Amino acid sequence: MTDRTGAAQRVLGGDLYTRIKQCKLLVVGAGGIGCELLKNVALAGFQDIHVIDLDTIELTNLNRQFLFQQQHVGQSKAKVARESVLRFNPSLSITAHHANIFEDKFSLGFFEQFDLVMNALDNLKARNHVNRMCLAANKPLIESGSAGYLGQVTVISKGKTECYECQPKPPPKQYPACTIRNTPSTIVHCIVWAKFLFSHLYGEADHENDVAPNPDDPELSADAKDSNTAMDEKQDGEEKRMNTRQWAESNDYDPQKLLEKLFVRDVIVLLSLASLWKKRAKPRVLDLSQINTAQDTHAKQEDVLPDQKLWTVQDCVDRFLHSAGELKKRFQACAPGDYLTWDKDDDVAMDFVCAAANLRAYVFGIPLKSRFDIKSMAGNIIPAIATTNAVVAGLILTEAMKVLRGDIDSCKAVYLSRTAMGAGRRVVNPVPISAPNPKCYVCGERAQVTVRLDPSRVTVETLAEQLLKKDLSLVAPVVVLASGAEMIAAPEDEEEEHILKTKVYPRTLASFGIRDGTACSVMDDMQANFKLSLVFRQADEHDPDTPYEIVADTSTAANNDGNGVGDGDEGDEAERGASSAAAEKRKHSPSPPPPTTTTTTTTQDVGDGTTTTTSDALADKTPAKKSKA
Amino acid sequence: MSEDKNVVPSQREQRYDRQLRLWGDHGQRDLEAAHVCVINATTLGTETIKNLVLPGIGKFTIVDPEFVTTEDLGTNFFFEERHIGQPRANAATELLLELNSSVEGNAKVDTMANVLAKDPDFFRQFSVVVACDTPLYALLPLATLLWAEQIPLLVARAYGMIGYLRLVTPEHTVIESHIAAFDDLRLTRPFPELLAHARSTILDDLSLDKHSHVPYPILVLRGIDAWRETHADLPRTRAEKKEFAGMLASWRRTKDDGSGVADEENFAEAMAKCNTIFRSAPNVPSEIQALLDDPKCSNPDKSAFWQLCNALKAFVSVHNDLPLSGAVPDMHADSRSYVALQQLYRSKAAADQAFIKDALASRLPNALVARFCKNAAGLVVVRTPSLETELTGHCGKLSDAAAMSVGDETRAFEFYIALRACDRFHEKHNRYPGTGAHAHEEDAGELSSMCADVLRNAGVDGVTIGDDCVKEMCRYGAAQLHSVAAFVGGMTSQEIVKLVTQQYVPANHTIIYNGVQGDSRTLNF
Ligand SMILES: [Zn+2]
Repeated sequence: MTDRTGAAQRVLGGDLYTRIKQCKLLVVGAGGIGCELLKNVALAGFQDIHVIDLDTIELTNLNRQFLFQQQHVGQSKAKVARESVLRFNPSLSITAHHANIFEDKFSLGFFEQFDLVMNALDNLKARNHVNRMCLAANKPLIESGSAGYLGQVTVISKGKTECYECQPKPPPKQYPACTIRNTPSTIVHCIVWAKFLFSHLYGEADHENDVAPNPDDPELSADAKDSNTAMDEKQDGEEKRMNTRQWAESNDYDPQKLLEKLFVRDVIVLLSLASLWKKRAKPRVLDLSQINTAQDTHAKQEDVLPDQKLWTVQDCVDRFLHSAGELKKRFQACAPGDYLTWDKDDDVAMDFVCAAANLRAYVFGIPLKSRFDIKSMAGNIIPAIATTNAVVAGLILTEAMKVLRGDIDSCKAVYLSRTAMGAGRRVVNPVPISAPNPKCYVCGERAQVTVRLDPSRVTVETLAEQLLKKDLSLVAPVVVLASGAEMIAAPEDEEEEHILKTKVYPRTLASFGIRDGTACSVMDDMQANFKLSLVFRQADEHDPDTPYEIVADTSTAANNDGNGVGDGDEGDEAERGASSAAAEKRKHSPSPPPPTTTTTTTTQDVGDGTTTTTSDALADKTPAKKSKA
Repeated sequence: MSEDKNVVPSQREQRYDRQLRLWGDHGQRDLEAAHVCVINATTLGTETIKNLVLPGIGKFTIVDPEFVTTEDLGTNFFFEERHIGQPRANAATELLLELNSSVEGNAKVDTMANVLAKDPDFFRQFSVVVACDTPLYALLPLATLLWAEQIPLLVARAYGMIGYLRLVTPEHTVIESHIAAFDDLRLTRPFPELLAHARSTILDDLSLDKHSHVPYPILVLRGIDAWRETHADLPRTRAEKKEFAGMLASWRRTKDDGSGVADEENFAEAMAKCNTIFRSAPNVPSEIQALLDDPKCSNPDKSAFWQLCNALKAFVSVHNDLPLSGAVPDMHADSRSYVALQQLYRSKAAADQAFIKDALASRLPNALVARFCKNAAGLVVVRTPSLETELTGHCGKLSDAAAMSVGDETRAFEFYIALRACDRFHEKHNRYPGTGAHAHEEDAGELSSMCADVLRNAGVDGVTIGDDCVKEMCRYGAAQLHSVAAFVGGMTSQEIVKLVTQQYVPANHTIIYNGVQGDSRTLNF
């Protein structure tokens, strides 16, 4: 046995080796774990591999993502990974997708072509999505993540194991908008503010999420009149009406003016809201002439990288002006409609947030932090090293072998410990994988409905009034999308009902991102324990008379012999037509947009993907379109 | 601001950003100063080196007499078709160096035994030596030399579905173990300056705003003063701690409008900390006391660690306490009083460091002394048995390991003995069981009786090695599976990073990985 595959065939046995060879494999993510994984699967004998990754290669990847080298910085991870593996073994079939997993082309049909899917992702949203797609396609999924010396691997198999979403994840941390805009008390509040400032100034235009002093602070309600007059006095009429973005635009994004507005004039406005400072220390205005240049930052900082040195207030001012000047140039060079996206690894963008957060901290008497520390918090940076990823990728292969042997029962959820010091301590800690959570709205067997329709033609009204209320007997349906957003909310009062019926009902399902394979959770505001998962399949054609067909309905299958209830009788069809007409009539009524009162942060990219939600996540909104800052 | 202030990270900082957050710049410098020798560029060998080149190890040297074969191409990512027939050491060095231009790599195309015979000094240049896929018996001469030099030896193997890793070192010392410790603010035994500062704070004289921003350590210290007026001892029992917290609670102000107790977070913080503050623990943890009682502490060798321990011993004999770390955790406070508190702790920590520095027999870098003082509560010394002890004569602890392994589903102990028997087989036949033209069954019989020999020689009674384990080992025929080698390579390189940075605690036992189950055990003997 002297050919390439001799060792693998010998150790694995011919039968398993053949299954590996015939397995069509999808690897989602070509980052830290992904690189190791692609090497491992190529050397294990997998022949037909697809890899998806949206990212391009960055310098900070090179300490672990060994398929990439210095000269590849800026190129597609998926494509360079493919080339690097092919260089090693040119006979493999590797398909690289430099694309977002949420794109339409990765439909249920796409997932169905694979025998096995491996996740090497770095964010919760994509993990949830692949989890749902694999459940819908009924394909086994191996999920993994690492953080520093810690790591984990688990297997998800529909109906046999719990899915990625069976155990609810802790909700991402939220900060009240008023804390962020008016009364920060920790450096984290200042960093959140600085990141919002970046997005507000240079990101996608969004006039709702301002960063300026917020006169609607509930603490002010008692003397609202009083404070509003105070605000009027401190701001001329024009400035008051404009949000910070508009103000910046009208001042040509001048860095010096921006500095003065944010850290002098806005602070004066805040000081005028007197009731905020009854129990709090007052902020101080940044007085550029008063900054003590010899300000002691710390006793001598020996043994510290430049990035770990604490900036003086003067440093912060200088860095703010410099980075705001750079960002102005970049922003003004953007094509119309294009904008900047904050990136922790972009030095200018990072400098801006570090300087702005520290200046705000100075204003509010909060201790300053180094750029290194602020970067950790602002970018949710999780340490990532080659060694852990190598171990994790090795474990993924072990679980993959079990799956391909058809022995899902022996699969384990494996956790890495930091140290094996001490008798009985283990490097790896496998634990049995829990059974599916019957109440899981994503995979709960007894609560899933699959419906076939054309999302670009079917309206929310049809879904809510016909499918959910009539066919599935819901009283007050609530429909939550994979993103966590509510497509249909249970109205609390007449006004909300009006908004739902006039603003939401006329929209198509496609306008909410629903497409082949999308799963969303359905709850009933009136039936506390009711929960089901609704999976959409693309219909080949749209028949206005039968806009949807229920394909499989495990909750009511017994009553319908598996045919579903969507086949309907004539009476149903007539009613459907009527409600569509009613929807048309209501289409053009105006209504105000719902108010936003909280600043929400979501979980976002971390190291090589911990599988836990980071508690201090400080992410921005995910923009639909991206142009590197 | 001029660019020379250098506040923007360098290329090196960016490249290593994600790991600097784990082991710091000084850890990175240790890594960059290290020279690792890897014996055999097997898949396990190259995977191990890959994981060291990426984070930026200083130098590696491969010692390997073999030439690249077609079968190597099937398991080793660092060979290409064009390398067939070339020395493995050269081919692997070439491709591994592509991963990081700041790393230096050398190849020595020779056997370890030859190199050792011709030039014993060769191995003295390394920080760590890793022997990959080498039978244990063949390692004895090298292991003896490295033991005498106090150079750590890692023995790593990927044998079919079985992985093996063993650290051999008389002693490895760790200053930064990263073992989570309490933030010890010394509130039950405050230093004079801290106590004076606390006593200068008259709570009743403060405005509500100031009152609700007094850092909790001050509140606790004022509380202890008040407590002592009526109690001889500090609160120790649950009930006493509760009583103490209740006293603090009663100190909270009422709201300005008189509508109840003000929501003073600093008081809540102080009350929540009562349990840990008044826990009864010795000033010097028992693990650290054991280090101070070690003979090497009184008669330190030239190593910085023992010299520092010697100075620490002097410190403890004077202060009956460890040096203060100087760290003050985040707490609810206004920045002025927080900074004042921080400065007190910092200057006390600096004074403690100065004591240690003066007590040192020879000069050591300030940064090192500072790190030592900061981490004094987590110092660790790792010692392993020598390879000689393991391989020759009776090893009493092996019987214990056998007894502890009863019912172990990974069968780590059996695979360990079977691996030792494979080595014995190799020593006798110059090939591993199941290789060559021989039928597995034929070798299995002999391997089985060799397992019994290994157990008998080690003085382990009443244990037999399952036939299925023996047959599995024969079936593997010493072949290497990439995924198992990748796993063991990851683990091995992780331990090397721990060794050369002297951070985190390396495994001090034999690790056996079962690649079928994806599970591992540490054997302690
Ligand atoms: Zn589930």
